Amino acid sequence: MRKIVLLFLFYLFVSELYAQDLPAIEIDQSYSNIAFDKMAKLLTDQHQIYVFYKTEWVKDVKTPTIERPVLLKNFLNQFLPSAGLHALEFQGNIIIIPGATPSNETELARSSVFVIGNPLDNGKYKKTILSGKVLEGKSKAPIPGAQIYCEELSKAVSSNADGNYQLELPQGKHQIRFSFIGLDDELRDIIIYDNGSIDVELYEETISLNQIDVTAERPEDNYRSTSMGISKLDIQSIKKLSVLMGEADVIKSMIMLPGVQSTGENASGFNVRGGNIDQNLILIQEAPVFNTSHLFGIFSMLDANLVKNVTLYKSGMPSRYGGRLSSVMNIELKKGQQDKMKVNGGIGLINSRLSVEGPIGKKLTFLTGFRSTYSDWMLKMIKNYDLQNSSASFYDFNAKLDYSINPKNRLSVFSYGSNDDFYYHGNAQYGYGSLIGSAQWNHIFNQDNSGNLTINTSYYSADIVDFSEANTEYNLNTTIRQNQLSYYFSSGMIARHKINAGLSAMQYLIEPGKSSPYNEQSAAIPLDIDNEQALEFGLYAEDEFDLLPQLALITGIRYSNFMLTGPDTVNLYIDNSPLNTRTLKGTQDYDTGEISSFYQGLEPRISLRYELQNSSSVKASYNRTRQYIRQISNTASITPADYWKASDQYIKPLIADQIALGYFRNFKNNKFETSLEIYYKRIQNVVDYKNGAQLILNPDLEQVLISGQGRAYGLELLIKKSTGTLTGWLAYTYSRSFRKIDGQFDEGKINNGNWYRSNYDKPHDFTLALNYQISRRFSLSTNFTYSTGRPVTLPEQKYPYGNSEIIIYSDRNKYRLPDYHRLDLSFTYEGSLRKEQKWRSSWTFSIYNLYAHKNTFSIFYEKQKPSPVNHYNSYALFQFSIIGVPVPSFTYNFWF
Amino acid sequence: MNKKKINRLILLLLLLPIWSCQTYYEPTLDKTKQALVVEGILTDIESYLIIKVRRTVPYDSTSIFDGVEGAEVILNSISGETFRFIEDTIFGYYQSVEPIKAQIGKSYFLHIITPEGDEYQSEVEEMLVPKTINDIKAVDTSIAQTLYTESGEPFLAYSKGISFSAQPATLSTQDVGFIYGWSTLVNFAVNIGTGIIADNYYCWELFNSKNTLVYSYDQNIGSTFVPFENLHFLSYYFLSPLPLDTTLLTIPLNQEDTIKGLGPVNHTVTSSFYYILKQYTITKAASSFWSGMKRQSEATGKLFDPVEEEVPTNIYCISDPNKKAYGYFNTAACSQKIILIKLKADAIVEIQNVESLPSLMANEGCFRNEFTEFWY
Repeated sequence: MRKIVLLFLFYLFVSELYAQDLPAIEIDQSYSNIAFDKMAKLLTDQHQIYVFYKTEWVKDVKTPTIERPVLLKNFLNQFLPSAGLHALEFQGNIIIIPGATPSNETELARSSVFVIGNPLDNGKYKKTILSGKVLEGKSKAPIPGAQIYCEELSKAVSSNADGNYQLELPQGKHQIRFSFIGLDDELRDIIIYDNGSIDVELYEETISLNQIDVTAERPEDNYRSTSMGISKLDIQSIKKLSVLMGEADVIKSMIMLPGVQSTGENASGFNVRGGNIDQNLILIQEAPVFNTSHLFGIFSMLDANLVKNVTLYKSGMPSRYGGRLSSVMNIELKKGQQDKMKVNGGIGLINSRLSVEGPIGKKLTFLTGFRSTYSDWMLKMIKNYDLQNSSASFYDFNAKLDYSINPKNRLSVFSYGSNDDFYYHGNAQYGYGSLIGSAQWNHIFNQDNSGNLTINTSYYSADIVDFSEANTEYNLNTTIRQNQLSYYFSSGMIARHKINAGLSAMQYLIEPGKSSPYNEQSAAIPLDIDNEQALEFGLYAEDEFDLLPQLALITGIRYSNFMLTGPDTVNLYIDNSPLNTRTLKGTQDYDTGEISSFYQGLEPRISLRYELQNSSSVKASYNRTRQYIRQISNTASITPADYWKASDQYIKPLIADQIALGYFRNFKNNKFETSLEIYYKRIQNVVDYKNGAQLILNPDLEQVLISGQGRAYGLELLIKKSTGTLTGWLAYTYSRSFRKIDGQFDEGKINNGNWYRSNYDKPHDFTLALNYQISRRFSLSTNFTYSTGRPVTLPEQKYPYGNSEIIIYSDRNKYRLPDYHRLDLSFTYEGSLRKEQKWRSSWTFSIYNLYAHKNTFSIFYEKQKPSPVNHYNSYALFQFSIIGVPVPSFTYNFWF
Repeated sequence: MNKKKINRLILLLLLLPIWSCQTYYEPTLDKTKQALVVEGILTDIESYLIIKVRRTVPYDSTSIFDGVEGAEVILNSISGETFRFIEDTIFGYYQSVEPIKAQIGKSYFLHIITPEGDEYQSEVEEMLVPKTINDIKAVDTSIAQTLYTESGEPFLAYSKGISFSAQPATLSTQDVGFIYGWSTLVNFAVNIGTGIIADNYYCWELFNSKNTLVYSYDQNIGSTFVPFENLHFLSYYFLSPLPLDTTLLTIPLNQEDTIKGLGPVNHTVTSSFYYILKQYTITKAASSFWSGMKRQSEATGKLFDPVEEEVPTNIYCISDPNKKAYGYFNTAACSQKIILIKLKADAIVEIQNVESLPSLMANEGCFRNEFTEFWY
């Protein structure tokens, strides 16, 4: 007999009770004519079914006679109603409830209600605490950041890292909404009499009728959350956007949000609020990613179908993140399904993908995926010998294991690998790839406190073979490895405070460049630029504090330091002179482990939110960020030849200060979300390159890099509609980004030391993304993008010298590429939506660049034979468009 | 739509993504900033020195020449010598009044006064000790050329030739750079006529490099050898069947005969090459200029859009620092190396070092049925 009083959690979802049978067991004559207590004990002993009830309700209840085996459900319904009771099934157990059995299932389903506490305690307590855990329905994984919202009280809390939440409520009836990105909301009508808990499971939508759910946030987050400068997308939203080759793309989707700008058509990387591409910290399962794309940017590094959500912090960066100046993009992968195996795949024109997930036993789940391309056949069809004999391919794979050791301990292990090969016949071969591994251990100390230990490693390697010149063919290899150990602790012990604190230790191992002869005939001699090894430590604390009902504050501080260690050889120059070979006076050697450069500093961060009337709020934030490593590149977009460089005695860490102010408002019952943000950012120690700088395999980089300062400012407007058949957003960004390189000496100046536009100063950026759900099976998506052309330096004059013509360029970035604009369209047809359908599929047909605009990727000059076409000019300028035609694509997606 | 048409349509759709394109771009550029350009190389070989004084022209100008008339050009040495120049017949060319041979170890600079009265001056350049050429490498190579069939299908045609490279001196302190020029004397036989009236003509032609080649110890990636222009345009493929336009040879053959009009050439055979390489030792700063010039001439944007190359200068306007000037004045100490390459069956059979180039009666010519003195 279970003498357990129901003081918390009566699950009264009656529709489920009668739609799903009570445990389908039969009971025999041994259940005849016995006391209720005894029957309950028998059920527990024989069938592991627990029965919950109050003793006083059943003290006089006896079971009826059973003449032959009977179903338990029928048996209970036979005698309980006469005792004024009825039974409910909940998670395989039985709950006894006073009152009549519901007579109309449908009606009761609509009026489902949770009773928490003892109704007899009504009026006893002034306040109650509703607590519990929010879980992902399939995987049963805790959901951090889920929102628990009581509408009539305008009161909301978020679940912590372990999915736990606490919501203070007065006694009585309330409607509570549980929500999280990409998952169905759960509404709970509750009557609360005493402290109690509800664990809620949120499920992924099977049929999406009200999409696009364009952001990962709930509509209320727009003005309620204290953080600002955050962009979120969930996989459902990403899938709805039209992209090249029909492949859902995590990074290209983010570029469509305000404040995030592309480096060029299908180029790798992105710029955030006037920051360089290397100023974005991209994390996948907490591990840093150094290469985010395949085939030079055509595809993102990761199959988007494995992604749970993506969060981009443009300002208001949590203190736990450090090491990059402009943004943090956190990519969180799904957890493998816990109940059954699931296969997900897609077949496109030049690549395919496949992922499998499922349980291994009761506590372990896995998620694994593989993607590859077969693009060579297209190259073979081009009537160009070099292209016919060229090849381009990539693959990536990943695996994730989640192990629930016990309710308080979870372990997650993740690995990722990728490889790209591009061979251009007779010219060069590029090979680059990443290897990433991470392990996370999450421990729940108690309901309020939890900790997370992470260890990860990320390795990126690029190999280039240059055989463009006979007899000097060479290999060039660059690598970077980052090993990291971090721990963070989260506590909600103090009312209205959420405290996060932690520390991290990182090790960088960088091979800036190593070249060797490609073959025996090559006269190239090996060159090996000194490797760099460095350590970075971070320590931080942050408090989310609900100061007043309308006023919330996040204050954080991060301390970081950085050590470049030996073996190292540092050039020494004559004091007060420019850094060049003529002023080089010697070198200083550092032994292994000896510190050759040391930097440290504090990074204060604060965010403030004041909620106004009418679903609106004003937010402000200030951030300081520091960055100790940077990418050395002589191109506007990322290439495999780019390499990383640690701060040293001459190249100092980047430091940025950003202030931002925003007004956020929702309209029409959260149907429309709007935001307006302005920001100003100042950056110290930016570097630019001297004219004609030789960056590759240069052991004396300080001689060709010059330091200066940067500033960026802008305005971002977002109008978003998340519900209804027509959803989407309109984003407009006005942003400026400038540099000033005004060194002490002439060779340390660019544009005479005046402010000039950075490479990514694109004042106007406009995106309109719309999705129209024509019917349950058909949806139509379109997006239009416009942005000002990026700055470029063009030839202005020329002169002859010997038999050559020499070009004189304008001031740096004096001109602009033509403006960029593009319209895309996609149409998705879903297969059968019936739940019992095992094999599910969808077809997506998309057209990229619908009206065939030749957007300029770059401008270059070539020597030409003078002719009327080029006005008898021996040089001619060309604009290069990567895609100048509409690009249709089909993708077949399936899952079962 | 039949199946074939559908297949074609699908194929077309699949190929569309890779149809990138490049088109002429004609922006509106600022054309107002014309600047003075000075060019001059002072060597340790006694000769008349030409200094070119010109102005830049707008990028889209059809002419690149804008010579400056009426300028005063003076070459000074730090030790006090002065060399004057007079205007040549070519616009912007100024020739020294007398032959000049720069002295090793001395430093020189240019001083120019334009007709408008602006004064320009070069940085001081030291005449360095000429460095040796360690080695010249000549290897048989093949080049591939994409040709197209009548139906437009591409195919590769290979042709044999020689690739040259040179190894500059191995130095303990690499504070110099080099520029190079080469010449080659080609010996080749031409068979003309039919049957018993067929004749063999033993011909020669001297070619000079059109481009200046540059080597910088810290710019050339790890290579001890300077790759030179491959001499395929002189070599077997192009020499057979018509290496040189022999119909244009007007050099008298045996007093009265010329190849011109003697009939079709049956075949030609290249017999040997004399290859003379001149190496000019220049300062490291001058090396930066020449390297920059080389890189700029090779740079194009396209996918990986490199940083713009602004070629350095050592010419400055001393009367108005706001006025820009371009070009370079540098010293160059000359050394040379000559090799003779003997060929057989389109392949190198022997390479010899030789002291000097044979003396030629003309830069090109032929003897009928008679070898030249320098025939191999």
